[in-house]
Parts: sequence; C-alpha cells; structure tokens
Amino acid sequence: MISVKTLSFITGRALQGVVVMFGVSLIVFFALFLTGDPAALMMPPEASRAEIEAFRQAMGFNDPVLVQYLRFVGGILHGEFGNSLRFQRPALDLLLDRLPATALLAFVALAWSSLLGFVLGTIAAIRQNSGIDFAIRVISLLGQAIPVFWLALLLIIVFSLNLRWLPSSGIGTVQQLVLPSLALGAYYFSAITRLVRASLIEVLGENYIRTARAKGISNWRIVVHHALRNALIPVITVQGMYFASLLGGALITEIIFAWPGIGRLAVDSIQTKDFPVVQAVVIFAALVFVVMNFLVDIAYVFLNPRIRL
Amino acid sequence: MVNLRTFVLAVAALVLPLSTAAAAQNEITIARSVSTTAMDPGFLREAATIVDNIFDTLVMRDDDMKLVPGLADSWKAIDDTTWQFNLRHGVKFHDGEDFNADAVKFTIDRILDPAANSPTISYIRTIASVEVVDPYTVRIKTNGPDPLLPTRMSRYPTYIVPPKYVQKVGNDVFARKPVGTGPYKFVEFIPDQHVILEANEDYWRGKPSIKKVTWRAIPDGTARVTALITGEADLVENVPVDLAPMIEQSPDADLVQVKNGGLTIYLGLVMKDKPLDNVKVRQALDAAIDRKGIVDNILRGMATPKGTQVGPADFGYLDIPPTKYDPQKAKELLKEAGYPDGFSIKMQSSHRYMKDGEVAQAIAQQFGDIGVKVDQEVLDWSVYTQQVPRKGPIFMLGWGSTQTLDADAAIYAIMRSGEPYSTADVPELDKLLDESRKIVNPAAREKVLHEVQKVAAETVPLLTLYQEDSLYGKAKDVVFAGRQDARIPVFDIKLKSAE
Amino acid sequence: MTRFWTVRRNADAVLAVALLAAVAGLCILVPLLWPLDPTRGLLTATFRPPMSVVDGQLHPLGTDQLGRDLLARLGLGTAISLGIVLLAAVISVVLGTVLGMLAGYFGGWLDIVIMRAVDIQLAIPFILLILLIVAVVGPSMGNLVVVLGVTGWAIFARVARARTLEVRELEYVEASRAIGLSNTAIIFRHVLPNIVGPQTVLVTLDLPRLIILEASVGFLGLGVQPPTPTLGNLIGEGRSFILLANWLVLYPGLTIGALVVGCNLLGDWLVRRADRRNA
Repeated sequence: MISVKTLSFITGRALQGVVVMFGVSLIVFFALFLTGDPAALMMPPEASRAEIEAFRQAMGFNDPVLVQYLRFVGGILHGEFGNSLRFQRPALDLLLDRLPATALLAFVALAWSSLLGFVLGTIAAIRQNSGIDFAIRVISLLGQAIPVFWLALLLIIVFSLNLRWLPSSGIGTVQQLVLPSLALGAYYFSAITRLVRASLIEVLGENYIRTARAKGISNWRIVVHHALRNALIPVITVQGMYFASLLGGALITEIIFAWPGIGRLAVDSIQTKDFPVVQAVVIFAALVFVVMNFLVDIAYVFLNPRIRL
Repeated sequence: MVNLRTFVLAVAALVLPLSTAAAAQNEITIARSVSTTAMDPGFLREAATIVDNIFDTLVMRDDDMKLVPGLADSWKAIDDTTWQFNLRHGVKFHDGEDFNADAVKFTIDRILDPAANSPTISYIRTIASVEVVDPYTVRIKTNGPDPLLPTRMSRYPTYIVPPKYVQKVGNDVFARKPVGTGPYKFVEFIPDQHVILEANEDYWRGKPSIKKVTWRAIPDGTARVTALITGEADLVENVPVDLAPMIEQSPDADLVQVKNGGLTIYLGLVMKDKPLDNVKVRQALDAAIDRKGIVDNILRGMATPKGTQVGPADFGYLDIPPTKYDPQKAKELLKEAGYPDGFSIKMQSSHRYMKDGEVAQAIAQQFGDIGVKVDQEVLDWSVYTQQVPRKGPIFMLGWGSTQTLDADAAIYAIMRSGEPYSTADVPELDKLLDESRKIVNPAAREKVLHEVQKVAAETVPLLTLYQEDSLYGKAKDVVFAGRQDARIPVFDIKLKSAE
Repeated sequence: MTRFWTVRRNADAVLAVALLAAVAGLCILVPLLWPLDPTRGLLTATFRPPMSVVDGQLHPLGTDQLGRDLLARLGLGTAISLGIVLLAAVISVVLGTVLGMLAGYFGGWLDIVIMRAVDIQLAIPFILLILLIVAVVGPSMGNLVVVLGVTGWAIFARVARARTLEVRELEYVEASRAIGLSNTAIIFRHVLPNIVGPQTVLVTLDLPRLIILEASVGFLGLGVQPPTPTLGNLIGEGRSFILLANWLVLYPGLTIGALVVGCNLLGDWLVRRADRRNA
C-alpha cells in the first residue's frame, strides 16, 4: 500500500522534526543560560556570599557552558530534565502531574470552539454577505479582538461575582471548568469560524459545486455532502497546531482561574528561575507542536492524494 | 435535537450543587496568593504558613508576640554561649513516634549539615552544636553570645521533625508527606491545587476546633477576593488594597487589617555612586517624598509613614517621626550640595509589595518636582533580585524583622556596609551595629539599637517610606484577628456557627 | 441594485476605515491638541469617573490610579503601541521576505537551513520566548520592538518562499535568466514585486496578533517602562482596579478592539479584492 516515495517522505519529515527539536533545545538552553544565575534567588536574603557560592557549586552552575549544555541534552535523551530547584523533584514528573489539567482545559476549549465555530462558519458561508453573515463575522472578530485576560476577568465578574452562577477558580467539578474553557476557547472560536467560512466559500466557488448546483441539487445538500468534506482539510490542519499552542499558551487563563496546569507551572518557574522546569515545559510544548505537525503532514498525504510528494 | 427545556435542566444541574456544597461543618478553605511547593520545614523556600500548622517549635509566640513555652517547658542561658531547653513530656508525632531530645538534635543537625545545602541555614548560623543531656534536656551551644537564640527556636527552620520517619522515607518524600507534632495532620498535597490537613485529636494543647483545612492558591487578586465573596474560600491572605472596600461592603465577608503587620518599604541608595555619596542629596530626596499623600491616596491608609526601619513591635524600637514633606527645603539642600538644577538618576522597582508600581511612579513624580529627573525601570521580581541591590542606584525594597521581632533583623542586613543586601556605607553606623551584636544584656543592647536608629535618621543611608499593614479577608462566620507575625494558626481559628 | 450590492460588499472596508480613522484621530489629535500631561497627576484626584471635573479641568474619560488624565494617556499610549507594533511588523516583513526569497530562489542547503529555522521559531511557544528574552535583555521600548519583530518573521518567510517558488517557474523569469540577467536583478525586478502584494495583506492580518501580544507583554509587566503609557500597560495596570474603576480597562480595551477589528476587516477586504482581480 505505502509506496517507497511515501515512506521516504515520512522519514524525511521525521528527520526534520528531530533537527527542529535539536534547534529548540539549543535556544532554550542558551536563553536560560543568559538570564543568569538562580542561586541568589533560591537562597534567603540573609544568606552570605559563601553560602550562595556553595549552593551554586552543588547545583553545577559553575561548570563550563558546554558541559552544562551536553549534560542537558544527555539528560533529555534519557527523559531527565534534572530536579526542580523549587520542588526537589524531577522536572518531568512535575510537568506530567499537571498535564491532565491542561489537556482537559485545552480539549474542552477546543471542542466548544470548534463545534460552534464550525456551525457559525458554515451558516455565514452559505448566507454570504447577508446580515447574519455580517453579525457572525463581527462576533468572531470580537473574539479575536478581546485579550484573554480581559475576557477572563469579565467572566469572573459577571458569572461569579454578580450572578453567582459559577465558581471563579480551582479544579475538580464541571462548573469550575466552564469559565476557564470559555476564556481560553474564545480566540480559537473566532479563528475557526473565520477559517471555516473562508474555506467553505472557496470550495463553493469551485467548478464541481457549480455543476452540482446547476443540476438542481439543494444548497444544504451540496454543503453537507460535498463542500464541507473538502473544506475540512485546512480546518483540521490548523486544529493540530491550535491544540499544540493551547497546551503551551494557556498560561494567562491558568493564572487567573488558579487552574493547576502547565502554563501556571511555566510562569511560576520563570519567575523563580527554576531552570529545569522551564526547560522541560518549553521542550515539551515544542515537541507537541512538532509531533502534531508531523501527524498533520502524514494525514495530508492520505487525505489528499493530490499533494505532490 | 436538544430542546430548550432539556438545556435549561442541564444548566441547572451544573449550577445548583454550588449553593449547597459551601456550608459544611467545621471545615474551612484558606486561599493564599502563592502555591506551596514543599513542606519540609528545614528546607523551605517560601513562607512557613502551612508548615506552621503541622509542626511545633520549642518556643512559641502568643497573640501578643511574647515568647512562651512550646515543645520546651522552659529554657535558660547557662553561660554566654550555652542555652538549655527542658522539653515537654508525652508529646508524640502524628505517626506515633516520641518527641524527645534526640528529635531536637536531629532537626538542627540536619539543617547545619553543609552537604544538605539548606536554604535557610543562615537563620541558625550562630549554632555551633546541640548536646543531648537526657531524653528531655538539650543544650545548644552558639559560636558567640547570641541573645536571639530563643527567638531562633520559635520559627522556621527549627520546627521539630521526627528522626525515624525522616530517615526512613528520605527528605524528598518527607517534603511531600510531612509528619509533625502540630495541631493538624497532613492528608493530601496536589501541587498548584490544594493541601488538605485534618485535626490532630491528640494534640498536646487540646483538640482543634476546626476539623479540616483546605489550603488553595489563587494568584490573581481579583479572583481571590471573588472566591471569598462567593464563599469558595473562608479566609484569604494578601488582599489587594483597592479590593479592601469591596470586602468591607460585602454582607458575607469582613476585612481583617493587622496594623504594621507587614514589611517596611524603603528606597535603597547605592551610596558609593555620585551624587548619592553626598548626605545633603540624600536628605533632599528624603524631604521630597510626600509619605502621607502616598499612604492616604494610593495605599488607602493601609500603611503607616515611618522614620525608622524598625517596627513598633520589635525589640529596640525607637519612635522616630517620618521625615517632613518639604519640597522647598529639598530644593535648597540640592543647591547647597551643588546641584541647583537637579540631576538624572535611575530608579528600579518590581511588583512585590502593595501597589509598589503606583508608589514608584508617584515618587518619581515628586522627585521630578525638585528637579531630579527619574528614569524608571520596573523589572520582573526574578530579574530584580539579581540586580538589586548592586545596580540601583535607587531601588525599592521591603524589609522587616518578620518572625524574629527584633531590631537587629530589621536593620543589620540593610545598613551594615558589605552585607549582601546593604548599599549603605556609614562608618559610624557600622561601628554601632557591630557593637550591638556583641551585647547580651537587653538594656544595654536596646540603648545601642536606639543610637543606631538616631544615626541612621541623620545620615540617611536609605529612605524609609512606610510600614505596610497586612490585609486578610474572612467570611463572617470565621473568627480570626490576624497576627503581627503573619502566621495563620488554624488552631486558634473558630467558626461562629459551630459554637 | 448593483450599486446597493457594491456598497454591501464594501461595507467591511467602510467599517474598517471608520474604525481605523477613529483610532488614528485618537492617537494623532490627542497628543497634539489635548493640553493635559499624560505622565503627571494629582494624588488627591485618583479614580475619578469619566466626565469628572477636577479644579475646573474636565476629564472626559476620568482619571487613573495616580490621578492622571485617562484621555491623555490613552492618546499617547495608542500612538506608542501603534509605533511599536508597526516597527515590529516592518522588521518581521523585511527579515521574513529576504530570508524567504533567498530560500525559495536558491533552494538547496540554504532553503533547508532557513526553513528549519522557521520551524524552530514556530515550535517554541511565543509568549514564553518573549518572557525569556525580555528577562535577559531587560524591558525597554527598543527591546520590545526588536523582540516582537524578530519573533514574528516566520510566517512572512513561509509566504515569501512559496511565492518565490511560483514566480521562479514563470516563463518570463526563466527567459530573463536565459538572456543572462543576474540573480540580484531577477529578484528585484521580478520576484519582489510579486511578493509585495501578499505580504501587505499578511501584515494587516498579523497586526492584530502583534497588538494583542504587546498588550499581553504589558499585562505581564514586561513592556515599556512606566510612566510611559501603552495600550498593554494601561490594561495591565488597570486590571487590578477593574472592580473599582472599570473605565481604566474599558477604554483601552475598546481601542484594542477597534484596532483589531479594523485591521482584520481591512485584511479580509484586501484578500477578496485580490481574489476578484485574479478571477
């Protein structure tokens, strides 16, 4: 079934992914290396210079850069990012502990935004240039225009403080999931609505649809049976990327709603200069992105044989 | 197709349990602004708020901040460098292990061990060794005279830990599953989510009234106060100044204001840099700040303008009035110093204290009024701590005696030249500060500490601004008055509804 | 009927122009004509709601936490934010276009290296990268422009490369090469003019992202230093007071909204116009 050409395409893409990850590791390591020395921050203000120096020595911050980098890459290959300076636990464990919370939030946010985006995008495309179309487009533009921290605070004020319908923070119940996923999904809802509308309009303009329409097949039938399927491809493509960026990008939402996820871990770790954890989070987010893109590339080959290999 | 009725029912099912879940008997939820990372009291990198409820110290502080017996019945100085503690009998750790002299020795040795790299070793650096006399008597030897030793035994890192348990499970597990002698037993810890504690019914001071405590972390101020008002939390720490009126107006919550419960905020001056080496320039800057205006208008009166870094509750406090706001005099001082047209200077600050961003901008504006052009730099705290205090040349910092409640902790580290956090360089101050550390007699020591504060007020090695209050919000049902040392001892908290 | 449909079809463009003109008016007229100093305020007149009068002076949008006039701050802040964002966009476009053209035109190793750099750039979470860089180099207006610009080049490079690949295959370009025109000449005469159009559209669609990003960086307190206002700083500082003085986040929020919606509508309209021309 799978041709040699396809196989070499897949291997090539996989290799590219490895190269990208290597580049990411280099950037992450040196960016953090340049931010300076965490020892002063980790020790209490009354600590003496000698105590700070002893701590620095013990943590290996005094070794040459190259040694530190090689130790870093060697560790990653074994799945070790070192111990968190704050928690005294393996950085990877901390990340994996928080993964389910972020994944849940990202999944729910993406689910509602895709679903609603798909429905509204389709309606807008079919009723192109109508009042409904205009309204949907304005709504979707607003979703992109409102910064997430603005929306998050607004949601808390309206639904928690004034209406008392939903809790403002924490994790554990379904209610607690509602506001953060609304805030996080708003941007993606807008993006998906716009994308579905645009790609559907493009497909609707193509010849085979015009032919079908000329044959007298109803508009809705055309959309459901022909157009949507073809319009789906670009949407699926960006979904993969969105999911990856959601994982890494939920940080403001997680902080405001006290959601115990990876984003909050990342910001706390940057603020406390917890090197190993920051490295683990960035590498992980990049890995998710690379893998998602790889899967999308492969899906492309099988979904759309027209793609030239 | 989902009809409207089904939809409404589904929403109701989601929403309704909220109203019933809140009121449970004798359980409270406390929301803090920072997450807990680890609970090993010997190796803390954060405030000991939660740990304080799981462990006990040999010496404790009562509500008036007086030192009172804790796990030690009594203590006394045997000679200049030896303190003896007589321990309480019959106390057990939560896992059944006996509390005794070995536990005390183990606790302290574990922190002093250089290989352990304890981040808080500096707090007990003066200890030379711990000697077990008998199972209920220990002697602590210090490197030199240390009048503050009993105080050191009242705060972290000297919470007493169980030797057998720690040796069995190791430090890493201990930090996640702590066992102490305190009023609350550890139940569950999920990072960034919560820490749950339950009452220790065999506690040596009696049964705690609150049976279950859930500690949560809500970093955002608005969300934290919202959680209090909606009943998701019963007690919140660190209320933003501007949200205080909301809590006061709420029918469901009260504001708890602990006067002078916070740090004393000051502007550090890198004295070796020109023009800050000139005392007239420092005095000019001091007189250019409208402390009262800042406290009244920006901090809503939730702080007290100060003339000394020492807090009123600290040993050695001298009541020095805050410098008078007098821009005219400031301009004259600048002229006398040889800067009739002022100068430009950089001022660094961060986001750490009550509305420090606003305060820094207001001070920059007031310095501008006397011709000193300020170039502001606001840095993330992680970057800030690396640059302060070396860069400056003016930087904002908060300092206090915290749980030591002694003037030494409030001033030595920031006024003695050469100390890591000090940018001061006044030989006369250095002499007095060093002298104060060699005296054990309280009256003589107090005199020297008073002298230090007088000299500091004249030479202005730094610009003392104001001391913050600490602000809590609590549900109406909760009985909690707040403490000067910022602890939240749940053992002392009660619910009105449960009485 | 036809006329009506043309208006309808261009409603986007009209709305976009109206929104952008309003914002442009705000950030040109206010700093020039409004007499109040955006960085000085009266400590005794903090948090006055819109339309308040203090000492005979009207504050149409109220005052902020230090008693400064919000209209003056919003005007200057919008101007500064737009300046930052536009400069950053220029850096992104130039960097992306040059690298993308080189990759597409010469292919081979150069192409591989550049495109992998694009992948690396895209793989690292933006905001974390910016936080890291700002933490290293320190916050300032110049640094912010460079950081936003340098982290935004990847998409432009991708588009430039794709377009270059197409153009390179065109007959007249091949002909130029056959008659011995130099690579530089071909790139400037044939390739570049074909890239300018798509890149312009892309810029209008990328600006909203940059505006929000500047706001997020300001929100996290890592942007331009106070007391200088930017849209991000205004919202970042104002959010602590959202329950007390909602106008401090409302008006900057509305300005961001107007900018983003305006840019997007304009971009969409440009895309459609280009499509119609091609069709």
